[in-house]
Amino acid sequence: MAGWKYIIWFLLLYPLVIIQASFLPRLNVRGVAPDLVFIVVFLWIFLLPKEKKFIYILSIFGGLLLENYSMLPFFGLWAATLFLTVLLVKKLNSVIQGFNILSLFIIFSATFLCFKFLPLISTSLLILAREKTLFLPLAFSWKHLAAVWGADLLIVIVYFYLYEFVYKKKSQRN
Amino acid sequence: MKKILKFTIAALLIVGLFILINLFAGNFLKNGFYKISAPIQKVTWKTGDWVSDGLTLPFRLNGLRLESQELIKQNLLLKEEIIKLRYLNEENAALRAALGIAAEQKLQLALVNVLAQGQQGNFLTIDKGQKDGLSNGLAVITAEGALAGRIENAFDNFSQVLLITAKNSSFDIEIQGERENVLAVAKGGGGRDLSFELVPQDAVIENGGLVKTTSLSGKFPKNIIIGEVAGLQKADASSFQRGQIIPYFLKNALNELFVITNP
Repeated sequence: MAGWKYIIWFLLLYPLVIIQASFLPRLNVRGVAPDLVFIVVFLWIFLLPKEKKFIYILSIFGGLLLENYSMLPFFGLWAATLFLTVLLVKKLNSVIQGFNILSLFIIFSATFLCFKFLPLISTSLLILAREKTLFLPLAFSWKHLAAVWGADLLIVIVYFYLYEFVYKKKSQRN
Repeated sequence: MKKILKFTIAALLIVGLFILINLFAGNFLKNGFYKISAPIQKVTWKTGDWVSDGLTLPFRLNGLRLESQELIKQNLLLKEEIIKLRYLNEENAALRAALGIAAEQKLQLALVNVLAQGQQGNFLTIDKGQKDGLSNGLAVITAEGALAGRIENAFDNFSQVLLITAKNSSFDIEIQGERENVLAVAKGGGGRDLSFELVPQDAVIENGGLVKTTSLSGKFPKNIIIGEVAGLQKADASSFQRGQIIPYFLKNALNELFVITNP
């Protein structure tokens, strides 16, 4: 069963990446497309932290898929970023006790910033190490970043309540 | 302790694998992925356009009505302009013949399909690459001739186009002025933003002035239309004027683009 779970989720991530890169940008909502792969990985680790082995592998696979739609000069940065994002969620989960909307908001916002800035910072450092020149690939706009954060957060909150609703119903039945 | 050791070995193996990929197979892997995904992406890209049209139509109706009125006005003005230009064209042809200038060099174009848009909306993925004669630095335009961007990474079968609106995009432009054309620098702001700066205070430019490329920095061929001036700012304290540019390429559906292969 565990093997099937890996295959199914990996097969699910692929269309998600395609939708994220080729479908959502066309909907023209001010050029904002939610980070579906990031959201999936975040929700997994936030809602089901016990399945960490699966989530580690899922994050690396998701990152490798994102790599193909990135302009960053180093292959592997997105995979490393998603992996570190998972570790960050795990750490914050243990620091901020409680499974509620406030903890979701704080942990999500911190991880979102990590997900967006870590590849840029690591690119700068790698270029500095390789070419001995300081290059800041700050290819983002604050307005756009805030809009994507809002869109991602909205999806995460909706899914969080949906999960709570289903989980409550399930426990009531048991 | 055993767990930490296991984790460290796994992490080192992954890092080593990524280093090897970066050295030998990064582009190959990306190209392979694009090759597999291209047929699906062509469909999803066009479907997205179709769904977007359907979803936003009710919100766009009022805007379309105003745009239509504006276009009718512009059409009349353009007709008047055509009459003037026809006269100038005849005069020009005569002058060219008289001076013995060779016929204007035509641009060679390669038709490409858009497959995807990158994170932050800074770049597009197109379905042709080095094997189709494309290389880094070539300019990309729409069917209407508006500048969209330049090829930043050309893979074997695919390329990534950095849009002129991308945050780290910067290039020289020429703005149509009232008395004479003015040189300036255009800078992408991310998303749909494009602005210009470094226009001297004494230069006379107006909102609606046409913005074109120059060949000063060698980034783009000369005289490609970019858009028009909007939101002109003439701050007294500053010695330069600045403002926004409405990029014309955003009015295009961005399904097919053209790469200028003879810069």
